[in-house]
Amino acid sequence: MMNLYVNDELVQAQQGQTLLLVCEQSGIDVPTLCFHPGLEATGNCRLCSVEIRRSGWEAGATDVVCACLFPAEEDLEVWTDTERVRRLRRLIVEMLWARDPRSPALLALAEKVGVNKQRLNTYGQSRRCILCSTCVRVCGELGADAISMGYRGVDKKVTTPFDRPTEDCIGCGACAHACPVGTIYFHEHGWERQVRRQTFRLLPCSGCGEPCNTSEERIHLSEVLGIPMEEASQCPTCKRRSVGGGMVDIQRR
Amino acid sequence: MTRLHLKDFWRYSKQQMEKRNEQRVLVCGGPGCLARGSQAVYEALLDASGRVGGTGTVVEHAAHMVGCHGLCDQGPLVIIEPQGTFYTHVNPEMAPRIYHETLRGGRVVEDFLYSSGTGRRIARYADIPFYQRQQKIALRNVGAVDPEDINDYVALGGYRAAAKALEDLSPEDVIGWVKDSQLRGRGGAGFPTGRKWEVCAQAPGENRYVIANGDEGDPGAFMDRTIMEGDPHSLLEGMMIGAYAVGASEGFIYVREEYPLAVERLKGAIGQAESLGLLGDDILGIPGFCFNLSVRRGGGAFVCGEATALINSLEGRLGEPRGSYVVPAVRGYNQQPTALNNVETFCVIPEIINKGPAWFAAIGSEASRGTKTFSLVGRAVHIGLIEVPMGMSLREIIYDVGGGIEDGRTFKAVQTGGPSGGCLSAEYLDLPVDFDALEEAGSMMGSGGLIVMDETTCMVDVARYFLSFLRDESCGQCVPCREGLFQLTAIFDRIVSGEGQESDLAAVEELAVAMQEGSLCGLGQSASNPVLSTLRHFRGEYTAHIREKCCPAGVCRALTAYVIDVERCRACGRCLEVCPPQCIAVSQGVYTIDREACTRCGACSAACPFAAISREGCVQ
Repeated sequence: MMNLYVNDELVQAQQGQTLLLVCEQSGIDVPTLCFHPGLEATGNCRLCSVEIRRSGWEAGATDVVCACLFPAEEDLEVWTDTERVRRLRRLIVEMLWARDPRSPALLALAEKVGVNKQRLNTYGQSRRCILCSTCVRVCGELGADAISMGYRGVDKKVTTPFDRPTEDCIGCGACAHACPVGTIYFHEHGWERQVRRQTFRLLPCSGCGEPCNTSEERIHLSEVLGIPMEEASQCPTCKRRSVGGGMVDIQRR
Repeated sequence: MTRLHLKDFWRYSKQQMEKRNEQRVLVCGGPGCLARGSQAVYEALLDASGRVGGTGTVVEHAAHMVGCHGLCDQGPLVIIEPQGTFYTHVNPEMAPRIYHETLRGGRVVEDFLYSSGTGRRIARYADIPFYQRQQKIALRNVGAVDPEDINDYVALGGYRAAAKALEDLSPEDVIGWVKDSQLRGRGGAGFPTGRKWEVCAQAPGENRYVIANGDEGDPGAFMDRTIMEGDPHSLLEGMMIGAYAVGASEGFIYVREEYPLAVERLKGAIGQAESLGLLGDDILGIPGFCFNLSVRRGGGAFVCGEATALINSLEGRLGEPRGSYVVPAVRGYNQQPTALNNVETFCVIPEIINKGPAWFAAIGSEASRGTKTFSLVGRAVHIGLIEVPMGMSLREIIYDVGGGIEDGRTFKAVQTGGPSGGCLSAEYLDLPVDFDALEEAGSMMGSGGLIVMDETTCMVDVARYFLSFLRDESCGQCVPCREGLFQLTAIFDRIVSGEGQESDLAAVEELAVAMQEGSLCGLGQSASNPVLSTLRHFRGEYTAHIREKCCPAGVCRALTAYVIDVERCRACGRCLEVCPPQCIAVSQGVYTIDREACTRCGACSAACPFAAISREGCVQ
């Protein structure tokens, strides 16, 4: 355990915890965008920037660091809502908003950090992806590593090899669910599911027989992630029922 | 060749040093001289001496294609040792005279010598003002050693520092020596090398790695290239000492794809060093000291010169910097402690071991010891590669070494530190060039680019050029850098096309500060330096562009106009013939250009035999 100060109040943290986690535990709100609790943080959006002052030989002027990556240190002083930090956050949101001025998610974020006017240069054509890489990370973590970042700078985009539909995609749709601005296309209709630009056939749930998930997803779940096939071929409702049923059994005993 | 043991090495080294041929004909094979045809000069010299197959003549034994001599504007260069005779602008037709008169006759050919600004001929290398103020440590062998022959490197005292370190010093001693020398990393940030190595050596890890950063991407910079092409073994030796100090057994040299000759020379050098037992397993017969070195080529992304992006690229990942606040010395390649240094930093190490840390610490200025290489380019009389002690003033570098501004123009600014450095105005000419002084003035040392500019350069245009370079080279990972550069270039494009508004400057400053504070890596944090430094030192030029809609230097196309000087115009009509939009009118023999219709292509100006048409910056 170590002691540090967040907004001038003493808080405790464990070795290796990030400032974002420390703030969360102390009930202090730090806005985030590319952060996802289940994924490795990358510090892409820089929205969670906070101002710090280190102790000991590194003490001196304050610094701005990314809370989702910066590890807690003994006697560190952290401020989450200074004017310097607020100014940076406002500009970050403004710059993202300029990519896609009609995005509802970015509009909400703009209101939250106090940006009410769009004054920066916009792209000729709206760029709905904010390049936070959450989808790429989620696909790598529990999917099939089917998408990655391609190109660089303003031309950067989430893509597949040669921009072509890829066999690696299992159609699980985790990317679409994780996207903080709702940019990735995900649509189900009858026995068909569309993720990004690829179409998948759905298989029936082994419990209720309703359209459930794709065969690629079932194979991936059982063969790569080691989940038993009977569980991998159930829809969420049936899965809850079977797990819940088990719990009811335990309680009865 | 057999692999040497430590005691054999000393004998071999002494042998090579005694055997070294005093008589040498050095043909510069640096990038500048090669482009001007030095390879043909070399061949012509061999032909002139009557080249005879395998046995060879005097010239064949003594002639070497060597690395860059630095004075690139005078190339191709030929230097004859031991006299130090320095021939400039050599072409193949001059080869027979060099062979007959100088090599056989022992006479200097006056016509081929370096001519100073006053027309005085200077015979000897060491007497040329360009070299007089220089002190070469990192470049000590470049231009003297045959880069493809390990024996030649050993004959110049090569690998003695490595052998000395292995024989007399413990790894802790080596780190202590480097710390005492106060050497700071030559890649740009200037972090103390000794401390980096100490952190790396003490960090927990199963393996340790040594990596040389040869991904030199700054436009106009060629310091590392020159070393890797001209003296590859000194990099190998420096890395070997580094590996011994931090306890690494594997190392990589990361070279950018655009340097194929460097890759070839380094691979050749590694092969030679391995066969002599200076690399590989049980180096110099010392059981357990293994160091395997390999060359990796970068794909040509500027951002891969950033330490963590370079490591990602080495691991086969996307070349994006890591946001982590843990330094590579603790967790780098394969998540293991990694000593990653610039090529130049490693090349200095053998000299520190040879001559001692006190010798090195006595050179340079208070907080920046030793020397630094710079690629001096732009509007200086002598452009090329230089190495000067730290703390020398910009004035001494530009006027004494560089010979002043070409064509007698006036100095306007100097850009230091590459695309993320800053522009300094004439009032900073007496600033000592060291890490801290440059940073205080709003610029940075960077890897050592020095671009000299005169009054014909527009500072707004310069800032815009660097911004667009960085916009294209930003990895695009973090928002402040990617979007900030997009926004800034959009604003600058407006300003140079005459559509700038008063509010633009405030927006530029706001974005620039956000990029400094919020960006993930050094590229984004320093990307706004050219903007902030030009705004600080040349604000008047910005307001001229925005308020008066004029470009005082006459560079920004949309803000300039072609004007016909009626005094000089002879009404020949050549301009009428070449003008694509046909916007030149003639009335009663007087030619005028319609500014609205003119596209400022410059065809009229180029065609005018009387130089009567010029581009003017501020005409209303």
